[in-house]
Amino acid sequence: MKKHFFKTPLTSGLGFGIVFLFLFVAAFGPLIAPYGSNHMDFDHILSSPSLKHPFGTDSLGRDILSRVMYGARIDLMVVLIVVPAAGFLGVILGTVAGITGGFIDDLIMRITDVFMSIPYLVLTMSVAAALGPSLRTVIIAMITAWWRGYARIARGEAISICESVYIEAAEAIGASRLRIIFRHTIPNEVGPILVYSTLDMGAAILTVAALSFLGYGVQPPMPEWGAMVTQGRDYLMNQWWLSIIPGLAIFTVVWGFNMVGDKLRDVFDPRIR
Amino acid sequence: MLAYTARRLGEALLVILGVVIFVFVVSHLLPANPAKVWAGSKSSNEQVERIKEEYHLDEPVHKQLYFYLIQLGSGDLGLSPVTNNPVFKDLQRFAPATLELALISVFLGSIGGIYLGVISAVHKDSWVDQLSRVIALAGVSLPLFLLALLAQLLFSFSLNWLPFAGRIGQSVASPPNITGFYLLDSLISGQMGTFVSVLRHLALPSLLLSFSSLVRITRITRSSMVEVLSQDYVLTARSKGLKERMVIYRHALRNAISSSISLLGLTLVYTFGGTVVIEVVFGWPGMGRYAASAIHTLDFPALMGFVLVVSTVVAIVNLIVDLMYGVMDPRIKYA
Repeated sequence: MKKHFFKTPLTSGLGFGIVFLFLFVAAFGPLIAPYGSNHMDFDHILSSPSLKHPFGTDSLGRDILSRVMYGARIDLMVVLIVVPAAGFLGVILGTVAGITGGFIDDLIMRITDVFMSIPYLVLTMSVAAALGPSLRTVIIAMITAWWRGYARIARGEAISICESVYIEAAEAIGASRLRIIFRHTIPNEVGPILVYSTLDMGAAILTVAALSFLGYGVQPPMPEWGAMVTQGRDYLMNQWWLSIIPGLAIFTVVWGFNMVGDKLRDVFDPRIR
Repeated sequence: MLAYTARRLGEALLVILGVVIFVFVVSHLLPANPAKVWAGSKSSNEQVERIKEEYHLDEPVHKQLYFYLIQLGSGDLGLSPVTNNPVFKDLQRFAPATLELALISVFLGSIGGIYLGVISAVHKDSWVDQLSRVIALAGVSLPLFLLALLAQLLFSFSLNWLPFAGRIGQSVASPPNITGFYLLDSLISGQMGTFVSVLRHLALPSLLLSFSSLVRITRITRSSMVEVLSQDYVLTARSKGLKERMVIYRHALRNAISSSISLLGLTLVYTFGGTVVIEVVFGWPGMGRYAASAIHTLDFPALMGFVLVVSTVVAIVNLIVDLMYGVMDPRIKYA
């Protein structure tokens, strides 16, 4: 039992707990946050953590705890749109490539290769710059870059599923290509795709935050976590809480998603347990 | 083997062309007016019109792409409208700094990752394995920019151990330009003072940048080593009475390492993405910072130059990796 201390149920339980906590905060943030995200308290500018402001305030006297809670909404909303949308696109493309084979497979996979050889950040930055920095831009830019990993996994899965007897049986009774893809192949890819997308949530949150940190993402005064880290950079020496608290929020939620993903991988792929 | 290399080379060129076309089209579909940005806020209408004409900005995107590809075909990367330098010249100045940083990071990440992966697999489920798993999970969860800011705060400002920005000390002369890699150039020319200064400046950015590749390579090495160590030939090697070190490094690792090597190209892609963040935080005079400022100023010739260099380096590494498979794993034959 002691041997498995780090594995189960502690880390996975912790992971699920963190993810639920952040989802709860994202859903009910405005109801439970002590202040509004842009409420300025000029009597408490740059004040250190205290009972009144548990995570301190920024240079405009805004409560960091409240802004982090509102920020959960933005960061989680972006990834909850981006990951399923990109996942859907990638799974469809990968499955079609794997099942059809030949020229279509080659074409889709070469396009995937193209996307694989540009760093996510540079790709999303280029799209974001072209469309002008905003929340909508971040979502579009990320979907553009994010589908590639799903296409690869789905193609691999589709090829191995294709060789199964039940696909042969479906073909024998005259099922259409479309039915084979949507009814017999994609549902069987759910396990690996679920694991990948949970681990991917963390990577997506990190990218949203990095985009805003570099100034291409969500713009002030919206309380996005990466943008908050940037705004606090000049105060890092003396008022560390401005950058570190939103940074820790990013770390905690990404860690949570990664622990859940790691647990799911153990369940779906017992070989590497 | 020759035919295989030629085919892979052709595929690599196609991928590079695809990258260039995609980024060009995406970045030129913009609603913003780059000519106005390039000409500056105090520019006259004539200046804006002249820039539009010079860069074919009035033409439809496919025509602009056509002009760009023709220009690229003659080996010309164009003129940056912001720095007013040929992009090739700018890249010549900035690329070595980024390549030095990225390659050292990938090297550190690979060596560390393979070592940690082997240790974790050999001591599977022990505290070492669990600790490395927890560190890996925490490692991939830390935002690179936060890690960089914290490291700067601790090692540069509080402890004053390492410089917080730049590639070389201000009072130290740059080494002669032989390879463009300061570390190598200072060593070749025997300037030990410069070498130490460069090393001190490289330490934080390269270690931080290597962290994500270290985590990825540890994970993949561990899982393939776990699989290989349960094979019959490992049992045979052990029952022959071979030393454990020999069994692990000569027999098991050689068969497990190909999956880690196959990850090199992708690791490099992630590292190049990371250089943008690291270079901005550490004021590193490289391509990543150049690209970041190019995107801010809508300097598309510069952005395209950066994308071209990155995709070419990644394609070359992927090609080398493919060819190395045959050396690492004699079962693979190139038809």
